[in-house]
Amino acid sequence: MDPTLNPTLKQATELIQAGERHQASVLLARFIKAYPLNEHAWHILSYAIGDKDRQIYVLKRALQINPTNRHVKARLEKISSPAYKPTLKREAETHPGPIPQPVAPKAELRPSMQGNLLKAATPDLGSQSSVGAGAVSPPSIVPKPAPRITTYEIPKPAKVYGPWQQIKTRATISWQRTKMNWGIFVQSPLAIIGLILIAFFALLAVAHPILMNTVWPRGIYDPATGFDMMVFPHPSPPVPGHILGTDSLGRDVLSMILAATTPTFIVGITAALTTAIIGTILSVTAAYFQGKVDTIITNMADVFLLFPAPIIMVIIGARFRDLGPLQLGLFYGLVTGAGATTIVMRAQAIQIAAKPFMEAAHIAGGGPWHIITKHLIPSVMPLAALQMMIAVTGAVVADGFISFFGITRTVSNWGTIIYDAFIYGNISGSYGPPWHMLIPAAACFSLFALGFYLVSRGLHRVASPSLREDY
Amino acid sequence: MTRYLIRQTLLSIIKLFVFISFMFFFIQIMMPGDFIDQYSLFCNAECRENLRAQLGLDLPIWQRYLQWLRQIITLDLGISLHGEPIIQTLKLVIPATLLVFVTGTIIAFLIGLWLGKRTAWQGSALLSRTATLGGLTLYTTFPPWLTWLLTYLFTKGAGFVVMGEVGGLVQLAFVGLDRHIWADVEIDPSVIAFRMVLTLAVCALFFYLVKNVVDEFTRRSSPGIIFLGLILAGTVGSWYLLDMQMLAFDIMKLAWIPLATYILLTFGETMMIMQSSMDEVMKSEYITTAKAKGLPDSVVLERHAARNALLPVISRLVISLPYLITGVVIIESSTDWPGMGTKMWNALYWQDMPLVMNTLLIVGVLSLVARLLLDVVTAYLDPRIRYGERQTPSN
Repeated sequence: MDPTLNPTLKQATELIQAGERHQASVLLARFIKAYPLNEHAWHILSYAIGDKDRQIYVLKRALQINPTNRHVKARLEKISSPAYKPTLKREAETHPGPIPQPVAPKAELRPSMQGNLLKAATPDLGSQSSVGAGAVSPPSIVPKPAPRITTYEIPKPAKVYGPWQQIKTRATISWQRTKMNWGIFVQSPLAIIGLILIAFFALLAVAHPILMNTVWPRGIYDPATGFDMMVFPHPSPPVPGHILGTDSLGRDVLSMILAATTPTFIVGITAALTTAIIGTILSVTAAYFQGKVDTIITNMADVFLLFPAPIIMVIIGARFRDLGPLQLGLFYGLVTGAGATTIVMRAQAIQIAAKPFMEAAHIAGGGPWHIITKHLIPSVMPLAALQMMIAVTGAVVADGFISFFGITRTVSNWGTIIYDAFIYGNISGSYGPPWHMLIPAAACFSLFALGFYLVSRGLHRVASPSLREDY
Repeated sequence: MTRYLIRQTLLSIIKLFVFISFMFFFIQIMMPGDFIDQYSLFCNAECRENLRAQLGLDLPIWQRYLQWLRQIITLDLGISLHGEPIIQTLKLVIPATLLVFVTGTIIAFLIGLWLGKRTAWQGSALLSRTATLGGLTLYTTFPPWLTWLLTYLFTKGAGFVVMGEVGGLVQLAFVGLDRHIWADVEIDPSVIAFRMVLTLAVCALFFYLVKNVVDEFTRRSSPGIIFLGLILAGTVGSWYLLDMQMLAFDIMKLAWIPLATYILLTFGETMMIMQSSMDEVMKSEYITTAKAKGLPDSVVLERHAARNALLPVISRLVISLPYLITGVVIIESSTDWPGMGTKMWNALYWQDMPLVMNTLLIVGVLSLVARLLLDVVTAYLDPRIRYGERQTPSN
């Protein structure tokens, strides 16, 4: 890539000469994000920034790429000397001359090597376009030798794009991205099965209040207190009117199962959101600050990993007898979010933090808040979604486990139904076990968790770019 | 590597300390009532106070904590509130747990690896989809229900205990052993169980090494099923050598239900991780190269794909290890298996805090040791990982 022919670098040079250093640094940062191994970009960047340490760093990067570039060497020596005092304005006034008219250096890289470098740089282009959610669009770079253009229009974003247009652009981009991800998601039929299962349970959750208010008389079908005088004895196998029979207290099993769907959803979704939020915050903090912060967070996560969540939930349930599904979900999410989720997500976030575009963002002057919210969090978001789905499964099993002891005040739960069948359902009696209670409850349990698990597998394909066909 | 291990060990001890201290305060503050309340039906307030003073339960919690710390630092686990030395109790209980969960983890791991490998290799064939769906359904099954189903189907419900109905109060025992066999045997069943674990571990290690040597020598991977058979035969053979075959088989007759439950519940997870890991590996170019070289499929699968796919599985195993230990409680209590889980659960139910805390301590130690071992295994499998060297930022 000949720098004299690259319009972006030329434009940046002109911006610097015009005194628009900030704009030039942003432009160069974008360019470096796409082509991290371009020495000229690093070199020109050293003119765009005022801080001495940063200048030295940037020049060293340029020298790493091509140690033979004598322009860079000379400038580095000059800046490193103690006599050099950089002040932004003075430099702009007194050094109009040495700002490079980027000339192709004589000691050029061998073509084969350059090819390698370019090849190494391309994956970053891909990750950047998949990662920076609506942050920036890649610069229009013309790598081929194009006819020499002498004048360039410097975009003034504030004037050209109004806020409405920006929102529109972002909406379009995210809509297209959603469409693409959906296409990948749909490729695996198991994920579709998962979605269907979740939709089915959502339907059940909605159906219960409707049925209670229209078809089912409350006295007979109430999930907690219902009793049917016309059926004897209880528990009864399926009879007309009670599709799944009744339990030992004379309650309709179908009604109980439907009523248990909503609390289960609440537990699962609360746990998922808590896990995702805590895991994201901790892992991103660890990955950004690294060093001591990272050590502390990792070790804390290891400690949290040791906590046996169901047992702790049983203890808490014994203490606060009025625990609803919301609190249980919150608690489960806290323990797993700070434990396993943080460990998994931190591994990913650290990898992302080491990528060149993060460095570019640093050099362009992005503060911690900007980098974390605009670069790190969008990159770990798919993984967070995956962890959410897994947390749903875990939370539902743990919830069933503790309602299995009748510790919570949840009116009924699939775990409770199984427990009731074990305890009161005359399980080893002469009539045989109450299959009409056991099988539907156990099946609901498996299928609900399975639905979320299958969706998480589909999301995994979306989250890991290496599994995609288009890379 | 040594430096890394020493550092990790020290860190592990600190982590263990934090964990155990938190659990101490958490359980004691959170649980309503205490040990005396569980037994004081016919006891007035004065009598309760006397009992509390006898057991040292009237001290403020931080004093109890310091006492307990002093005990465990001198490696003395003390006496449970029921009056039995805790070390003795744990000696009786740990082998049973190891028998089910070490064996179960290894078998589930192998099954999961094999299935994951096969299903990923065959892609979207109907059979592999069915296997995936089946494994995941089992993975998300409600554990007590699966235990009950197995017990019901194979023993007509004998030996099933509903959790929460606390079984053995003080002394757990292997319920249902054949009296005729054990009549003139002086050794405790738990000792036999421990020997069974030991023989299995030794055989597995020995035959694994043999397999490695043979593979190196013949330069192709030999079928694993033969080696599994050899391990099995070796273990059973060593039982005959130690002259405990009848006793061991009798224990196995009881052990297989928790073992089977555990395997069915957990192999799905390994399978799933192996699948996704294989998916990623098979997209890489060296697999294409290996195929293009004309290597047979089995070699590409075993040597090129599966080996590289193994790493994420192992690192994931590290994370799910503590969950396995939670599973111990659920599965053991449902089958009345006299292991650590049942013991801890019963102790928690009766609020026998010294026993609960020391069992948790052992659980923590075991899982951290397993973690360190897995670290070593990972370093052995992956030449790219070098612990202990400071990683330079990739400039």
